[in-house]
Amino acid sequence: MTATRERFESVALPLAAVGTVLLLTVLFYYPVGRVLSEAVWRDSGLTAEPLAEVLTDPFFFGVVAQAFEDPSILWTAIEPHTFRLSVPFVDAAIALNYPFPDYRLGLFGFTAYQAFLSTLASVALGLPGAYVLARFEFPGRKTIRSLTAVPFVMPSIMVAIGFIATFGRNGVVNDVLLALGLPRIELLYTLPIIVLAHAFYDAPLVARVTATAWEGVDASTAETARSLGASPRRAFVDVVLPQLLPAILTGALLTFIFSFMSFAIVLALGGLSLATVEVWVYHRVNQLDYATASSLATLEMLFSLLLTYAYLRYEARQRAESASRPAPRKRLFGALNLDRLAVWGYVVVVLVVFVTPMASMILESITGPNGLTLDYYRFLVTRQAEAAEFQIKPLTAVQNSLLYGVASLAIAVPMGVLLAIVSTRDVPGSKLVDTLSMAPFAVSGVVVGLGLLQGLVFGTELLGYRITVTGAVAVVAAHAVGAYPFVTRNVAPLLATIDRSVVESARTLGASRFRVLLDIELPQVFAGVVAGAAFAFAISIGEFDSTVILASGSSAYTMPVAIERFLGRRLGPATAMGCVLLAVTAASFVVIDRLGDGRGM
Amino acid sequence: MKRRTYLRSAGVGAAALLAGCSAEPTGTDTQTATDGSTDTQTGTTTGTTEGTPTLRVGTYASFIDAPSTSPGAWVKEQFESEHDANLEWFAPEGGIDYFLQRRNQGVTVDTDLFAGLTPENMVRADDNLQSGESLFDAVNTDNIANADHLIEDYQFDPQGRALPMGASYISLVYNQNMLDERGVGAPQSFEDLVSDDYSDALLIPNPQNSETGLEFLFWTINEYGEDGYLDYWQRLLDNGARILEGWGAAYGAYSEGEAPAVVSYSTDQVFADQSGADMAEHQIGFLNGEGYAYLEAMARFSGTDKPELAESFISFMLRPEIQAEIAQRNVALPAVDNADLPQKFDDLTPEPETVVSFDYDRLSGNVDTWLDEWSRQVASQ
Repeated sequence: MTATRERFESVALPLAAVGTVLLLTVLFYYPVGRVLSEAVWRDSGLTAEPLAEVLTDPFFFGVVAQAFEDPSILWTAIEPHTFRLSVPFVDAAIALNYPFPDYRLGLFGFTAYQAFLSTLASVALGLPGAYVLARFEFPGRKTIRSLTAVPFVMPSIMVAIGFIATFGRNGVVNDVLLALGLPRIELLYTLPIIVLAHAFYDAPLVARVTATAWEGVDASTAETARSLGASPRRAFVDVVLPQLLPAILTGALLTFIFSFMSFAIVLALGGLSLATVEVWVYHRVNQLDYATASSLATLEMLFSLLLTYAYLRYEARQRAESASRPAPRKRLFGALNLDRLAVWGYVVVVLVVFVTPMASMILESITGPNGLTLDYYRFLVTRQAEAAEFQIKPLTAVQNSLLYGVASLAIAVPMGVLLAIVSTRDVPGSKLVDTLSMAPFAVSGVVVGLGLLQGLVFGTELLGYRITVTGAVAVVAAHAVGAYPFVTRNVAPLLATIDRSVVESARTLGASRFRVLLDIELPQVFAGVVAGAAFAFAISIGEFDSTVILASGSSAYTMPVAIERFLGRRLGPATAMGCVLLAVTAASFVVIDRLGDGRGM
Repeated sequence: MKRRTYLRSAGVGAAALLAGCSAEPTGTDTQTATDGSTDTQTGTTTGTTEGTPTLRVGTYASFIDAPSTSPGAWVKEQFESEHDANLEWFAPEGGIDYFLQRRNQGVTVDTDLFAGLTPENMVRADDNLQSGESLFDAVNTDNIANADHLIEDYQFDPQGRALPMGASYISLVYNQNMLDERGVGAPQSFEDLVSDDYSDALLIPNPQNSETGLEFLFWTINEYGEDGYLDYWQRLLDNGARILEGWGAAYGAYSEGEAPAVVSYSTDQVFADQSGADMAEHQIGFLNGEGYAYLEAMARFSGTDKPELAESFISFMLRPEIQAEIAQRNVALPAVDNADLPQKFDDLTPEPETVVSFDYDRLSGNVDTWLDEWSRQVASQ
């Protein structure tokens, strides 16, 4: 028995490594590689032409591309600008003239700009949330922490409907403003609404990651600073904040990459005038112009990976201490002081930005042309009972989503932990492995979809056989590949804080590498594993691009696919399915976190 | 199927999960799944055990699975009751591009015909075919009953590969209540849409992702010519028209009252009537008395091993009583002139005085250029 166990333990890690490499090759590097190669490969020869065409096109690269042709644009484009500050209530204004470059941003420039703004907004909205979750005690705190993953899974069309109902011309916000006698605000089809929608998706992510780090900050460090005479603010800035910074920047990095690759929500709420690079990748793929699409996607990927690499270099220099004693939580309910007042102010913001859009969606699902109705839920029940075999059944979609979610979690967590171990080893190239492990986030979803279609659905010829991979197994594998970077990103920073001497002594005493991982490392990084698992599950539940391609023509569809299918002239059926997704995922996240807590330290 | 469900719910998902992988010997048309999987998505067209042939028909998703009504299930049932054949619907993501990509990659198409082909689909399939024969082959109309009743205006393929199956008109759908608030009537012309009366008034599905939007773009080219359409679109954008992700996003925003008009279909009132909506919010607007004909055709894939069965299907689909039923279930107009429709359906589907549509030759070689020029202009705002 022990011998068998020992043998298993000695091969467990190498086996997992082989499995991970195999899975990544089949489901990611091969399909993506065959599409991206179109950017550098033409008529069986290497070429730089498609990439050069994109790089020198002012439409894509703005002033940078213009400067290729004529560098003088860099100084001739500087125009006098006027900054006008109008004084309210009186007819007066202060005008200030200053020179400012009138550079054309180009598609890449604009995409990076909106991603930067989205990142700022997500951090600004997420940090107070982390503060509340990590430092306060109130009934339902754990449930709310679990629910922070919910916005992440919402299909873009649902978020668009929720946002229109909240911030649109006839939305809740404008109704309130008009009732207060204030002027209407026009947010839809502007840059701010896109930034806000990205923050809707990503601020909870920032909050969750930061809260996990905050809960791990040792109270004694701040107390020491205070006893040495530092003010609370000083103690926070000098002692606590540096310990949070890696987590905040992780959230910021992910937000930037996700917003940079954003596509559907930009077109639904902003319109084509605010197009991003990914909109163009999709457009060129639709026109079967794979060379341009691949060039754009390659540049997107390089940009994201460079950012990741820069961040990882920074992260490696940080050495956070793991906590021995977290600070006690403050009570949220009690006499109103400045602290609590700020928190309640933040709650109002959360109600407007996060809760109202989702509540609007729920309201939409029970509102018919003639008032309240349950027709749309009846539609789901009827569809379940009467659907033909080639039609989508709501309950099958729910079952599939949950099954795939659990299966991808079961694959993504070991994969992610494994890559976290590799990336935190002090060997040359480990940061490169770490950077590459983020590739599934850095590659255009459109390109991944196209690669899966051509490489797996149509199949690949090998030794006289055409190998095709579709249906459930492919969906799960694709989800796992798309989800494991979350686990790696959550676990790696914590793993780096573990005292290496403990690991080494255990190894000297004869423990297998697998045993050390199980008994020493995992228990210390468990909070990160759970956070990573929750988001891995979220990625699987929310994934649409790859799922719809791999499940096409089979019964392997998921909830987001069903929502897309139920979209028609009335918003009801799709929003009802959206609410089912909302309820199912919310419940799942609570369960995952409870299970995680039960096993925690 | 039952077995798979059981396996899944019993938690031994792995066995069922693997059913999607297959390895098939290449270089032969007959396919055998070596792992004995019964999954349908790999496209086994070799038929079932009883020897009843299976006709696999590609189409778009809402033809077989729309949240309101769709004709797919009814057509399958009727066709199978009259023919010794099984009908298998297949609606891949990406529509006709899916088949085109298969052909270009040298993989068998595995589908016998496509129902719901637009003129621009066909042009694209021809323009982008990398080698070999056309994706479709010509159908001898002598074998198609009722072919002489096909509406002339709806025929678009000079090579006789596509036979019309149905049509509707791209038009404005507008909300009279919202226009009343502005004190203006219905927009009558393209020029009206760029006037102050209709500022911030129009939502348009993105032509890059939506046939509806693309055909609206063609309509403006018909009105202003290749030299003038970009200028018109500039005025349209300057007047606050919005180009949203696709038809769903545009129609959804319209339903929420974001703008008083949206580019959609002339059949809108049929749906409004079904759900008991306020008809003032579902008015149909034909610009300059025109409507752009959204045409749908059937075409047989070249390489099918069941050419006669495919012809029988086309014949079946064009019979007057089948056309009438499909028209109502798909909420579109029939493609033949002898289909009898209830008066109410006629009342709810107004027709324009003038039908505008670009045929194969007008579109051929032009669609990509028009769309690219247009896209760059809009996205450079």
